[in-house]
Amino acid sequence: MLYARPWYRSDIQGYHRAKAVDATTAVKIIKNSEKPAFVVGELIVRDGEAVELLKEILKKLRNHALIATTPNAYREFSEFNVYYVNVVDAANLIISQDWKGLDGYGKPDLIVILGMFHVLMEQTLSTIRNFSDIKSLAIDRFFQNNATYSFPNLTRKEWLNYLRKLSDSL
Amino acid sequence: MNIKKLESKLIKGKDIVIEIGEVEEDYWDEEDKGQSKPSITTLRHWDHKLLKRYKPFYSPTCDMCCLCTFGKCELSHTKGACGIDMASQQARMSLLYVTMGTAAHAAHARHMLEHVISVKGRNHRIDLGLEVDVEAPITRTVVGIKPRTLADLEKALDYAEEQITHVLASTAMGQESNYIDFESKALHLGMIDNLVKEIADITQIVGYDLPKGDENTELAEYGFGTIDVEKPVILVIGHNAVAGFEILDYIERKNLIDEVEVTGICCSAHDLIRKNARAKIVGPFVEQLRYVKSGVADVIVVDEQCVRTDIVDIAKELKSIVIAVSDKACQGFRDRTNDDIESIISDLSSYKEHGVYIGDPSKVGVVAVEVARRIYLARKQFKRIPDKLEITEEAKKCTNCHACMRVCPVNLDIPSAMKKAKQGDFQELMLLRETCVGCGRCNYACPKGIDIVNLMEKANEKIIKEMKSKIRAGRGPIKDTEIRNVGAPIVFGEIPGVVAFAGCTNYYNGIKEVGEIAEEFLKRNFIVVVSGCAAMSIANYKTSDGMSLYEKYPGIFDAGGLVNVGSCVANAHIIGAAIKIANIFARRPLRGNFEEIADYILNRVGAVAVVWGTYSQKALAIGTGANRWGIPVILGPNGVRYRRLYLGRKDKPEDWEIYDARTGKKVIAEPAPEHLAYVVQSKEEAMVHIAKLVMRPNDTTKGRQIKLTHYIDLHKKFFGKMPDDLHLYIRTDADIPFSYKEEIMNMLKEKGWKPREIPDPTLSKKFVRV
Ligand code: SF4
Ligand code: SF4
Ligand code: SF4
Repeated sequence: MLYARPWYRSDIQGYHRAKAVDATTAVKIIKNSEKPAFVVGELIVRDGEAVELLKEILKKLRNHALIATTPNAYREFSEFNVYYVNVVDAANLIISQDWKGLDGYGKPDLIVILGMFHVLMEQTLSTIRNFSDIKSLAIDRFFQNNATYSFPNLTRKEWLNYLRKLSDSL
Repeated sequence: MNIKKLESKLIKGKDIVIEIGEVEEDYWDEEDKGQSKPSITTLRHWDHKLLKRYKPFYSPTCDMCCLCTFGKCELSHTKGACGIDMASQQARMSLLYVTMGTAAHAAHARHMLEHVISVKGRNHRIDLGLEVDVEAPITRTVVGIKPRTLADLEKALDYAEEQITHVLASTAMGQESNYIDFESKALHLGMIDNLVKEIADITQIVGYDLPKGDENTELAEYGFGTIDVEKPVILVIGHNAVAGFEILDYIERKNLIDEVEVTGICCSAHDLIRKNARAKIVGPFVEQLRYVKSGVADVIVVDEQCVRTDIVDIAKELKSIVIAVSDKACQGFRDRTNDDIESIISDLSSYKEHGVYIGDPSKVGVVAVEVARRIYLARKQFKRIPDKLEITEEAKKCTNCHACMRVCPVNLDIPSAMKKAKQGDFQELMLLRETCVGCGRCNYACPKGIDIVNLMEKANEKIIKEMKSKIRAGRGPIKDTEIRNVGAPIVFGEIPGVVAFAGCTNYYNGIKEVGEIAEEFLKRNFIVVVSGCAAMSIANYKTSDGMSLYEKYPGIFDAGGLVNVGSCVANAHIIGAAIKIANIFARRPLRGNFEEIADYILNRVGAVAVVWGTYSQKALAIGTGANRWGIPVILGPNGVRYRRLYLGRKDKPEDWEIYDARTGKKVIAEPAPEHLAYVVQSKEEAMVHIAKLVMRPNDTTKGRQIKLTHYIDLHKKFFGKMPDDLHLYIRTDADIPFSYKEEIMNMLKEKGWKPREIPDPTLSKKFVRV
């Protein structure tokens, strides 16, 4: 079993610990989800290699998952017919009892997230964890303790390998 | 009064004692609308109306509550031992932040007022000049008085302090339980925060003869490069400039202006240049640690708020003398308030003591200047940062352990920069400083004791020495004459909006972004109003032709004006300007009339505040106050750590129901403003949302066209497409911007859009006129 400490020493919320997962387990989690939603933040755009891998992943998921980007990442991924959302708006909708989901897709049961400024990711995942039962999977380079599942802390090379594995196995 | 015997038709009695506490002379003939000195429940119905539309959104920073010994309690999906749930706990914590912020401003106001009264007397008149009749719009509305003297401000402050006590009490274990009611109290105290800031700023304006709304205040020098390090240097840090004013007075009296450098960081610096533009601003909070560590300051005077708590230790190493002047931050020093001035000067300049607490500002004026003059020559050796060879040697100690990066709030890759620096390549180290927020956490975390902050400074030495800019001194209030000129174009939407920048420097992507956002809206003819560290960050920014925005744009409150009101307490004048639009332009009375004024601002005044670098509790208090008045606030990404936002739902038309004051009918309006407290992830998102959040249901078609044009322009520029919610903001064909007509018509068709009437909008039935 993988073990990871939060990348940030202060990223300790209480009893909750995210479960560290490798790429193989992440693939299983995504495949097992009935309504996954991918949320792509703009920081990913700074890394060309990661963008290419992510596009491969999204190609495979476009029929299975709802894909949303933050507004700044929209241009890069517009070919996938993505939604664009402000991340707190997205979290707010996800936890609202009366939200029916985008275009009849229904509420997602899994949020897969990456590319966000860490404070925003940490806080919005905290919202989702504390005010809903929806699971989350963080696939950034750094362990995200507020998620349900997260990649552990990785070097850039390791992280790209994890993403490659996702794109190969999904 | 004693009456031995009284016999009248009504009363008979002996030995009657009559006491008259205070005779209130009511010299203001405006009718009181019944909401003067509101208690914590008087405006609760207004808050509940706002919160029904703008629901609190919570993002817990931790799952625990540790506020009493019945706990600590873990609250995720459960309740605490006292029964509180997660939402209420988050509401309680953010309310506590608001309370701390408000208390800081209130105590500041109290000190300022006490000091000015001790010098000028209670009857000193409040006179803000011929062009400012409505001198204290917040005080008039909230307290229901038209303050004529400092004694009147004292009464207003008494009221405010009482409210702070009540609200703080509600956060104790076993008091308030409902999150909406916690939020109502936060909104109440936010309003009180705005009130006490107004009191503090008016007091210093009339006490120290600071500018009274003059749009042509002087341009002062800004930046490290403007400081002559060969002279004795005094640094003032904090927010309460009384001691700083005394320093300037002493220097003027002794004719030492050209001999001593008076520099400042944070709001005290703002207020120093309001008094005398010969003082220099080093920069906002982000520069505090760096500048103190540079050793340039011979004497550091710390007053209150936003003073780093490690200043004393750092200063001691560099033989800088520290003088603490606020009872809220005595810094562990001996109290020398009542000691003879010469003995204090002698003890400090001989380093018998490396710091003192002096509660008498006039003594501080003399001591700071004279100590700086005596020690500066001997301190020359400390006024340097290490040379490049030393950087390489330091970097060689680095073991690539990543401890620094794991505490860095902006996740800077310090280990990589160190690797390069070991080989004499300082490029990466240099670039780090652009995003670094100067918090010093990396220094404290490094097991090898590497002074990372100093190494970044050295790598940037040339840039820092050349950092010279200009900032327009804070002007204080917006003049009534200006309001008369811009009231109609703002309310009808022809001036697209007022954007107010306030708050701290906890930027997630560097200091330059505030300047970039401000410049975009100045070019677009918005009114840009600035204060506090945000105003300084804007001075830090240079346009493509190498100018400061303050040199390029006029200080007038009109389209395309860049208005620096001054320090954080001065930003009360920004809310004051919105109130004055309701009062002077629309003739809404102020006295005890909070709800009508807030309803007016929410529905008609296209103002939005931006707090891009949030960290302090005060910034949350300021923003929450703005929210109660109906002004939306956009926060930078770190704002989500305040745990609470107020978000609207544009997908729920029923949330946007208002009354048409002309007919009394309920109508569904557009989601404007869409949110009250909102976080965005990038400067581009901020710009798009500023353009959107200035829309108001009352806009004329011409005004709406102009506002939509900016919204669409920015959206297309940054995100490469049209906004997908235009159908919500277009009420009639006439709202459609001409340049986008065809595209929009197609969109509207797809959405099944139908035209609707433009109402005379109000949230409260009581403002319906039929
Ligand atoms: S205040 Fe309530 S939730 Fe907090 S520690 Fe005490 S009992 Fe627990
Ligand atoms: S001082 Fe700068 S580099 Fe160091 S931890 Fe703070 S932000 Fe990061
Ligand atoms: S904490 Fe110190 S030793 Fe470790 S990587 Fe950072 S600079 Fe190097």
